[in-house]
Amino acid sequence: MQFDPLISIRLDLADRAYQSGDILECEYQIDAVESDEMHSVEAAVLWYTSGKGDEDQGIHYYQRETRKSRHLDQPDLRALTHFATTLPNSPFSYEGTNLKIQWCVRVRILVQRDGQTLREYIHDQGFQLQRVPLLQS
Amino acid sequence: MDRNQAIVGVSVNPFETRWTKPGQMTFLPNGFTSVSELAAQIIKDTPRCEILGEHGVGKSSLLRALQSQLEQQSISNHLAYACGEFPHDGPPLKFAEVKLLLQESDVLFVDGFEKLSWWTRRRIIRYAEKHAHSLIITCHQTQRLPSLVQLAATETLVLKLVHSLQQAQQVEQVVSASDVRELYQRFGNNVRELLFACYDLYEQRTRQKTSSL
Repeated sequence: MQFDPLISIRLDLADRAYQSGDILECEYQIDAVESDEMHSVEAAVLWYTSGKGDEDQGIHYYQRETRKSRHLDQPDLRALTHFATTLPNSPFSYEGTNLKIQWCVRVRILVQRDGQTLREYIHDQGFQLQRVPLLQS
Repeated sequence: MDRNQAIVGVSVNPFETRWTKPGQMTFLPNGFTSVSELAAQIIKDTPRCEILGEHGVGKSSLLRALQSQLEQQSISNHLAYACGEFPHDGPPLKFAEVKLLLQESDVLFVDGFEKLSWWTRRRIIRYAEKHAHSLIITCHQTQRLPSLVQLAATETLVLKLVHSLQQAQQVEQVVSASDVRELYQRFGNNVRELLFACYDLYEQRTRQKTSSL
């Protein structure tokens, strides 16, 4: 029996509530897959809308690594990887009746097992992007 | 696509566009012959044909099911969207692009064929007939090709669909069978509108429940 790859994502804030301008730090790691089966790993910080109507999305941060592009001292794409990005001023997380705006860190891997075609696996870790509270005099 | 979604503090409505958009739902056979029989029919008898039906009855889902059936039989095929996957996704397909796809694949599926201009549609059909290419299209009104199947939403199908959408997101069956029967009376064959109504009903009930807690 073959299990699906396991993608783990950890964000630096336990409550996953960030404010615009904060630095989001993230670590991810891939398990339950052989190193030579890994084709590429993509990590992105993005927002997307969901709800009743058309969908939209925006990518704030993106990185892609393949076996060739990976640094020589750590060629294993499954290894624990860290990245950080400064969060933008908008759009804020929002939950309306017809529309929701959600932020997440998304890790997408492409895996090729036993000469089969490439298969993608995606894991999202959601977080909130909130407005900086106004200072009260 | 395998997708595990962890959403922080945001409730998931199982009738959101991302779960109900064309081709996203698993095709539910609706009383007619199986997908494998339809695939065999395409290969043997009707290489150029159309799948007819109203919005949301499962035309795009059937195309995807047929596509995967042909892939299992190692028959090269391609699924093209007349205007990208959604109307705002891109410009309409051009005749030259379709011609190339017809030449490259054993079977070409075109979803939303009616979104193309009358002239482009005529040229594509004529070209496929002349060069004996396989072309399967989806449309709401006949394009004068032999019909592969005409899909219609029965009450049983809609009941199954609404149940499976709520089950897939592991949420309570907030929209019940009696709600679906009532909505079916109102919207009939138009499953897209029926699912929009389910979305509203789900939001309304979950918000009422949250505010009363």
